[in-house]
Amino acid sequence: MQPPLLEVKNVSKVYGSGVLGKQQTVALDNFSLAIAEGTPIITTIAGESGSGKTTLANLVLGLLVPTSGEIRYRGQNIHSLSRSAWFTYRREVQAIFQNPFEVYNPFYRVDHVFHFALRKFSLAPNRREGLALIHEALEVVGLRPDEILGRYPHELSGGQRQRLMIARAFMLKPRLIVADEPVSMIDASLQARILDIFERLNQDFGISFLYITHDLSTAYQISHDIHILYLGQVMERGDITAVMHHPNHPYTQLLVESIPVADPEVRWSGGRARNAAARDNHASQARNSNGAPNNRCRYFP
Amino acid sequence: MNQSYPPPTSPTIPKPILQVEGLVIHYETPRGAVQAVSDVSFSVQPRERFGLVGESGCGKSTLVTAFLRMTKPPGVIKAGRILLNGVDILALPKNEMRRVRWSQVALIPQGAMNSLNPVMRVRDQIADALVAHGVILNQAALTARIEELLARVELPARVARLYPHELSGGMKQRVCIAMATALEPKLIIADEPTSALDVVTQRAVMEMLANVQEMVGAALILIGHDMGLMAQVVDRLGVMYAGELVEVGDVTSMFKSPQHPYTRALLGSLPSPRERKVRRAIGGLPPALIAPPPGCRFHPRCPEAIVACREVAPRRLETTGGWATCHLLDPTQASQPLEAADAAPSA
Repeated sequence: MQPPLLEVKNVSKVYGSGVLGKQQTVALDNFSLAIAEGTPIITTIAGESGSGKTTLANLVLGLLVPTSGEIRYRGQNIHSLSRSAWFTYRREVQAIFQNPFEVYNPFYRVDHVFHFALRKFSLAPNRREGLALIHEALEVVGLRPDEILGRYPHELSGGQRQRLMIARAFMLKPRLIVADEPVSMIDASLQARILDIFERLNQDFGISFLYITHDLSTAYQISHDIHILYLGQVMERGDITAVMHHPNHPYTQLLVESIPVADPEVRWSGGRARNAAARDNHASQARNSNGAPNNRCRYFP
Repeated sequence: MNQSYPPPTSPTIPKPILQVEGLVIHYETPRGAVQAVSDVSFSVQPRERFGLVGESGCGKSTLVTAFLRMTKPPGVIKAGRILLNGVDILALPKNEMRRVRWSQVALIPQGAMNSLNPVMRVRDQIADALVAHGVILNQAALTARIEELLARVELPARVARLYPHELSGGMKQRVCIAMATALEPKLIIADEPTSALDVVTQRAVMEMLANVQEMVGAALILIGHDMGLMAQVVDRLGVMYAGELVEVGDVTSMFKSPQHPYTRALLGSLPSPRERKVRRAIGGLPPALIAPPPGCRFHPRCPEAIVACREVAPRRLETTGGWATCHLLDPTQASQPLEAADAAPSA
């Protein structure tokens, strides 16, 4: 059988802090996930701040080394890849980050991010073909090259900058894009366009996504399955439609109920409302206290 | 605090807590004036929750900064009046304005949680702010007051001894709410108070803010771009586009039958958690405010634009729940669609 494109196998990540790393925080606890080769899907990792979703993104991108467990790409542990295989991995797994304002060097024109990638991965034999690749990528994300190229980052809107980042990732012909909160800093009116691009890349170009977010409504619009994290543990996983319509775990229920619905007549349901603040206190306390793994559900009480 | 407030003068005719009349704010740049706020008028009643929505760069934050008279160069208030409780704050002397800030009108700025001083304990920051505004209490009373303020936002008393980095984003935001309401202001302005928070924390913070606002008896102006959040929180809603207020109305009728095409577009672009549907992003980009388009500023992006939209600035027209500025609502405007006009140029 073909090994999965990406397999996260029983991965835990523990951060140490304080004297000799004695204070330990378990950011991710025994997490597993697989994205099959051949059927491109959009997998959502949802959870609140501190749930370990960004840790997971950084682990998959190879920016962090897991404390235990392993991450396999096409059957091989990404931390024991040969030089050339690692190079391929770096090209085939691309990242899109939350803040489209911080990822650009303000001294360079935006073209720089494309030319740098072209050079680094020797994608085009000459400048003309390189330019053709850039134009193609810009068109896929719905940007007009003559309006964008040659500009400085501050001259573009947040939505345009984020689409440029998607274009850059697309140009490298990736197999997997790790998108860490890609729309949370974009105006609600422009989020829809970013989501459409993701869907198109997924359906037309066969790119799988690891979509990391706290916003279940955008996740619901584009993704196929979902993993819900809370303080590093998986609370619920499954098909997105099933999870959204029939959440089984109380935490998922709270997440779904907390989405502000655009209808003044459907107000936040009152039941769990009072607990929201108390739970926030509890979660931050749980994070600050010695987070040694224990056996009970971390959502308790 | 031992101040007592005079009873409301007349319960039958509510006097607005905030009244904005014809406000114009420009940013003077070497290339010309950026018209960030153009002729904005509206009012907010006591205890009312008023929402202000619009895309980034539409002038929301510029507008509310003026309510505290904190517009800084190159921003200039060109025209208009801002009446806070009947007093024109633009005419107040500087030192008097200092007193009005916080005691009458408090601002929870965007990313407020990053405005906490990282090297001061929560207790000292709240105390600092109280003392700066002339609240004189002995140590024991000060401690009690701070605990009371923290309890109001459901934070345990131990939080007073902590530093900001020891708190979660939601807790920091709640500390900011406690500080902003410490002097029982009449008007609280919250500029995207939850944009950096996840949904659960967002809900906790919003419910908290609404509770405290009711407790203090203040009015609330909530700024944001999330129509979903607005639907949950506010009573009345104002929609801003390119520096202009294009529609104001009560939230229920606005969501049920939005009158301005821009309001409709904003609502249509929302991702829904209930159903997967075709999403309609708003085409194009907001105009550069250094040279806004003539006529209706939304007409280049408006799917329903008619000829008049390109030439004449629309006037305010009454709607069920408020008003909107759109030619489509104006019976005196002949409605020739733009496409038809372009296809057959004046023969």
